[in-house]
Amino acid sequence: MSPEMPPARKASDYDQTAPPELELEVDATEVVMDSTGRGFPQEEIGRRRFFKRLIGLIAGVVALGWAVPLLVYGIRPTLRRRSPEWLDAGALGQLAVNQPRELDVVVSRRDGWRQVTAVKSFWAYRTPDGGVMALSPICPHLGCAYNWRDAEGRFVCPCHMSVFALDGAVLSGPAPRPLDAFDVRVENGRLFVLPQEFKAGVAAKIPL
Amino acid sequence: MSDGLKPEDVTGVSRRGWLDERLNLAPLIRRLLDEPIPGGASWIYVFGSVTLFLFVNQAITGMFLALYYAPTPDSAYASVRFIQDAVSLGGFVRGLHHWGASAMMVAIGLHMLQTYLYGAYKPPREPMWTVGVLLLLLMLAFGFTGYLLPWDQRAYWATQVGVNMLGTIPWVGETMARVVRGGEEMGALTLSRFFAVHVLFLPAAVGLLIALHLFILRRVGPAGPFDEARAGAQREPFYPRQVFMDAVVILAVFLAVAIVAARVPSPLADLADPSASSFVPKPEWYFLFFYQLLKFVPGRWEAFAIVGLPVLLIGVLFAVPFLGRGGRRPAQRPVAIGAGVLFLTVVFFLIADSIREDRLLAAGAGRTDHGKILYEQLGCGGCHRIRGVGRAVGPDLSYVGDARDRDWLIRHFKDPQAVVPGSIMPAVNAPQEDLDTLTAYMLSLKKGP
Repeated sequence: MSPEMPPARKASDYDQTAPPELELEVDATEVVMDSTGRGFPQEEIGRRRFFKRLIGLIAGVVALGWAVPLLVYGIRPTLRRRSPEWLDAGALGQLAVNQPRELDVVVSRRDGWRQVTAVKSFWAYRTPDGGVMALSPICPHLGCAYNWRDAEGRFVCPCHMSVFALDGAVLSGPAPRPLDAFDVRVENGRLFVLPQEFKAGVAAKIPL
Repeated sequence: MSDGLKPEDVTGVSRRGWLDERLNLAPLIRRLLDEPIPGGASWIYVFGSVTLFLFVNQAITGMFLALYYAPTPDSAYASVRFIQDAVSLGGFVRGLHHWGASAMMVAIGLHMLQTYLYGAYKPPREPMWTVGVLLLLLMLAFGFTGYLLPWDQRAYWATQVGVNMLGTIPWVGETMARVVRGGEEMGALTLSRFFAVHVLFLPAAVGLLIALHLFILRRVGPAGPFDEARAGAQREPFYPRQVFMDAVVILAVFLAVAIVAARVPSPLADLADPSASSFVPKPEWYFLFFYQLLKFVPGRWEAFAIVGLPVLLIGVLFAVPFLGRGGRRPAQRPVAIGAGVLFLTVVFFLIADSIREDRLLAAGAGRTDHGKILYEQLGCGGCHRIRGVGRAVGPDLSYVGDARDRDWLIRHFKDPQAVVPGSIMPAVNAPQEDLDTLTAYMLSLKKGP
């Protein structure tokens, strides 16, 4: 037996140091089984408290070791925002100057591990300076679909009669901001757009 | 071999003896079966056992459903159809699971009702009630997550509405909705996490809580009758009479569920179509009272009703054992009993009202269906709300059939401002026939006959 090791305790050790009010009838096996610490000498209680804390600490470390990565794993991907993608909207030739037309694009988006496609539309026309204007089809007021009225030369939203000029500026009605323009790019005679959705009902153009 | 002892007794005894010698089972079995019931066994105490039985039924049938089910949007619906149509007894097994879920909600309701009526939640049984309420919430979560798994129209749109409700909670709602949905939109990730929660997370949690519920029961003992004299007059062990009563009712419940499963096909609508937003979703019947309640809530109270009311209700349920210091007799608890009766009256009224509404809608099919399609094509839902669907910009049209007549509606469609000065509604530019059809639909939106 090495000198650091405390000598084995006998039941009689405890009998002598136990507070009299506990009146423990202990034999050696009971002392070893007891987990409450009652009737142990002060030094032994301290040792047990130390182990109790250490075990609690180990349990806490393991619990955190599970909880943190698993919560990140389960929650983080759900908060990811999709970045907009450039989409091919067809030949530029189909657009006339100052004549808005509704064009369709095939939106392919990731749904988990799947790739799903949907058709989305937007309004577009060529500007006299040779550029292209592409407008989100969603009214910035409350998200209705608006229409181009050829005879009047303006966009009108049927829901609340917001009226917009060719360039998207608000002419009348409750819309809080002009129509939302998409970024456009022309490559080899083909039109590319960057469709995005913006928060409805507010003056600022905030991407969703 | 001693006299009067048959050989099988001997083998039985000796086999038990062999295990007993090693595992010392006899005292354990005696402890399990000899739990004393104050006042003796009673048919009124069977509901806890019945609930436990139905949970086991859900667990077993669920495991077998998982043999053929595939939790992805590409295959979920097809795999459920496969179970229903191609797997031997597939419809029956799915029926046991589907109707078993409903039976379980009924059993839980009766179990809680008995506990509530008998004041059995009172000290020292508060922890048991608390664990019971947690179990109820987990069961509702089971129902909600399981409903999506067939990935049919009902499933998809009811879940869409349910998750969007979560999204209306101020500040944290949108994040919570995203976490539940698995992202911005419902899709593959929604289905896979609902599946995982339904078949792995919830069963683990419920298993633990059931163990805890029963552990507490054994520590505090069954409550027995609320009449102290009757409770003290007699004590009877759990085995054999109470076990027998439990077994009889369990058999009856099993037969009932099996007969319904064999005769009534479990619902399966068309494949979920995320672009068909015209589908009017309906939740499972045990959520129906809440769904119906929302129709009666005026628009500006809606946000409160969606979030606040359930939170309040659950809070009250948790608080029940800590309110009122009186005895267990119903006569000593007028407030508790009164509140319980009021709650059940409201719930049953709402369920009945919802069923009546369904009947009316079914009877008025035909032209109104066309009108409904027109309503959607014209984008009316961009401003108007019908039974919780659509935006609340203009008036709610859920019961417009009660408020307006045909002439008024037609005139109003043609020139809203002439009928309602200052109205922001645009005129409906449609042929007369369409206006008639749309009007027929409007007139069908009524509270009652």
